Amino acid sequence: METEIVKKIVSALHDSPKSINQIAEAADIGWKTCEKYLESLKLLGIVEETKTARERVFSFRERRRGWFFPHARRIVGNKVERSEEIPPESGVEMPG
Amino acid sequence: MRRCDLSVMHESDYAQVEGATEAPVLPLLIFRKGMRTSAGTLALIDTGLDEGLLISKEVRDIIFAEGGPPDTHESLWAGIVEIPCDVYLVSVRILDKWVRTRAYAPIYNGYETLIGRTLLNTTYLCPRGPTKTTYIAIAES
Repeated sequence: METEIVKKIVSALHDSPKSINQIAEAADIGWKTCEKYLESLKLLGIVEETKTARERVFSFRERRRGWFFPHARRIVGNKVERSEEIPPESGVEMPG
Repeated sequence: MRRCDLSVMHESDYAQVEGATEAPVLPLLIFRKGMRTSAGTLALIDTGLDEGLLISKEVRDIIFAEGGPPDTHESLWAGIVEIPCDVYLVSVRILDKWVRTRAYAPIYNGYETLIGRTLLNTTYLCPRGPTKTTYIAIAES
């Protein structure tokens, strides 16, 4: 797959689910190319397809949790140090 | 102009990050059942991380050695990039309170410990860029 085409398709799907025609037009690629890429992205679990009576609609899969900038930068001098303090038997909060 | 009604309980200096400008960090203690003592480390504040905690290899190695295999496995997604992770259920001490959370350990090495929104949303934080200090506060009653 060409990265540039994947980027265009991902960008086209960013706002809302779209039909193949709409994605192909937004990404400025041919319908057949667009369908081929969407099929691959579907296999990879990146997008999902919904079939209506008139068209096939693609959207991002919603199960994803992630983050915007996955960086591998390290804090200079950061070390793991042991502490005798441990959580109490009760009183550990559950975040909302 | 409305005045802030928070009381500062703790200050944490920004930390130097390899190849980048200084970044806000928080000191954390991390504990998992089976460990004899907690693991203390600095965590980068990452408001872009949906989950509560991502742990470095160094922290993961301690948790694994003393607490056993991961509780489950799950991927994090960054755009269209999948990052497979081991997931450990841990307790984290932020300032003076302990909070339960899921700690994600990427199977690829090189990541720093990051504190994400699920935990950040339990705190009052004020990153003060010009003085490179993060204030941790409580609400005045």
